[in-house]
Amino acid sequence: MSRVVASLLLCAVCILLALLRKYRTHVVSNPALKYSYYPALILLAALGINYLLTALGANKVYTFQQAVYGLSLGSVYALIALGYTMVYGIIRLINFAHGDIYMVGAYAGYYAVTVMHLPFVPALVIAMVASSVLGVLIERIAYKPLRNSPRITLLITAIGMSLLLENVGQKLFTSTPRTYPTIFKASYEVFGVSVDQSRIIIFAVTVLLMIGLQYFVNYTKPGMAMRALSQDRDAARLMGINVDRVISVTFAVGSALAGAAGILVGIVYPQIKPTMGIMPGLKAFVAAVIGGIGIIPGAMLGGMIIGVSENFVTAYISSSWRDAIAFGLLILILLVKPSGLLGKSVREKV
Amino acid sequence: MKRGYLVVALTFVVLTALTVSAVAADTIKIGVAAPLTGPLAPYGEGVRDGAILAVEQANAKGGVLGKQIELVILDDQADATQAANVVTRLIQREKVVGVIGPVISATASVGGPICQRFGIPMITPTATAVSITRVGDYVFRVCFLDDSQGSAAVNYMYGEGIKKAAVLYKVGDAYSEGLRDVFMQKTKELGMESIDVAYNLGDTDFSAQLSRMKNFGAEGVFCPFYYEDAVLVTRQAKAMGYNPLFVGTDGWDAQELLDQAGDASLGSAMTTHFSPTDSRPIVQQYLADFQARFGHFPIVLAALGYDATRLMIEAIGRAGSDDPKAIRAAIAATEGFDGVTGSPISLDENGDPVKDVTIIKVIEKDGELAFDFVAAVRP
Repeated sequence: MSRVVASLLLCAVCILLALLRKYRTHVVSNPALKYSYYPALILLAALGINYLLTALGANKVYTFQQAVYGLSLGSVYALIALGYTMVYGIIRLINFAHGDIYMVGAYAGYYAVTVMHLPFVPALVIAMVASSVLGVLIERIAYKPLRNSPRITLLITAIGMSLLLENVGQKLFTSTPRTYPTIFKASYEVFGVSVDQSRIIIFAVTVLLMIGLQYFVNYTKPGMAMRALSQDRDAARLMGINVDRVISVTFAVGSALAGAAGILVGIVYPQIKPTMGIMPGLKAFVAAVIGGIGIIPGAMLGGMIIGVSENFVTAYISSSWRDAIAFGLLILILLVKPSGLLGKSVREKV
Repeated sequence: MKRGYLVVALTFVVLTALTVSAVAADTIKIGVAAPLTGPLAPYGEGVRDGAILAVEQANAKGGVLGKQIELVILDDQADATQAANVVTRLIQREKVVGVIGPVISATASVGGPICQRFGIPMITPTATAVSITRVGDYVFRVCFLDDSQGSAAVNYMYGEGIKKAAVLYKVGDAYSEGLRDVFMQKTKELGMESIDVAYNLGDTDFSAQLSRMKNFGAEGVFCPFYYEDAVLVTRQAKAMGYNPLFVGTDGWDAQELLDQAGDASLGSAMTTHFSPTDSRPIVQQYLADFQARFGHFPIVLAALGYDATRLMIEAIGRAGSDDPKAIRAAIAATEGFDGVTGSPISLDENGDPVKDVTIIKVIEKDGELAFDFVAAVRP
């Protein structure tokens, strides 16, 4: 019993250390800790969970297997959630068409792999480029003319855009589901937990894209302009930032990430259809809100939380409860910490 | 105004003449109500062709009761209103002694009460909704009910020596959940260990479900859903190195499964209505005759249309009269009927068939994947 309590405490401390803002700012400003702090916390938490499972006498292989499945599903949610969060951060719009951009990315990747017989990496690039072009087009055609309209107008346009893409998709790609060929066959065993090559790739590509995005947002000029815009659009304009271009860049980057999610989903869960974007789109939205909408690491954290919790619910309870729990989490977060796990609570200025 | 009366009068005369000629003709009429236009037309055409073949074969042998059989085929467009019109017309104007069809549950549940009211026997070849035959003693069917697939699948697994089995079912889907219940009950009766694992509409990730069944140690997995999901399930199971005996239902019996799941589908079994690889002479004869007559390979529903029509003709012969009431009694008394979709067929008190369920399996033949007949199993 004491071992259970001890391991639970360890996990709780890890989570608190990871979430407490005070420590985080301290850590980020300390170059020695900057890149080792979070990995160390994750490792520590994993050890705590391992210890807890031993203490409880659970089937560890089964549990960690679910974690592996959850992380690969969570990667997809995280990539989609990033697009939601970036766009929201810049123009305060929940872009409901985002899930459908992910669908188009999946189809672009599918045609690159099956019709053009391209290997994975070029297909990934094609999917990202196609989605990104579509994302920018949507922004230019549908959202830009409404820049100064009330936010609700923009939101309704986004919903209309989503429906339009789904239905054009059914016309263009037909509603018959398409199946990706098996691209990565290999599977490895780590301590009895089977890890497919495709799952390693989905996770690795996601992490690489996240790192790239962090770099882009924090250390490049367009990234800085994006951050400036998210703080104060008018002030940014006065500083000489081309607001329209920065918004387009944001849509391009967010949509490219959704396109990557589309093809990654195709290699692990190999079936795609024109309506595939609806549910993952909603889940990714939930992920973005859980992590703190507008905050980039929050989207990743939220995506992983949703992915892993879904797998655990299916594995230990029943998939009937899965969506209820995902959306239940949303309500819980909105009640307890409306700004999200990583969000700071800002008081609305009157 | 005068011309209006003239048209009415003329129509009346023509109609009367038609009716008189219909009565006077020295044939026995059987009606077919099936969708021949619209999206479900391929199913309707299959049933129609099966019926045509059965009638032509009977006529070649001298018909029934010394008379030739005449088939009256009408298009119900798979629409409930249209089905009501068509069935009424078959009975009132065409004076058929029995109706084959309608093909889908939505139209059959409209056609059934009409046939019951007019006292004309109806055999639906393909409608599976339980309620259809419950409207009265004039309504029958030749396809098995969904429940049969569940108990046949369990019997098959049991026969293969499987002690632990799982059912993967779709939440909120009446077909899938109904078969889950049958599976759980039947495995309990046979003393097998079983679990039920759910998934949701639109799911593409089955990892957690599959690993749960693997962890349970299920050697057989019953899968009451369509091939789209089966593609994902079999491929993901193969990727994680889990190779149980998958037993699907008639929804798996599609070429698309082989094309899209590829090697992952190899060895999977499924319950179905009819298999062209069934080596019984009656099946092979039917396939040869069908292709000789129509020039193409029949779809599964054609076999059901063929059996329904043959059953109707045989019952007319046994009744010894073309009185619909006598025919109804003869159909109800059917025992040991040799059908291409399972044999022997008898009908229970509800008018539903008691027959074998065909089990087929995915095999590799000449380097390509194909379905092969495995067994006929009693549910």
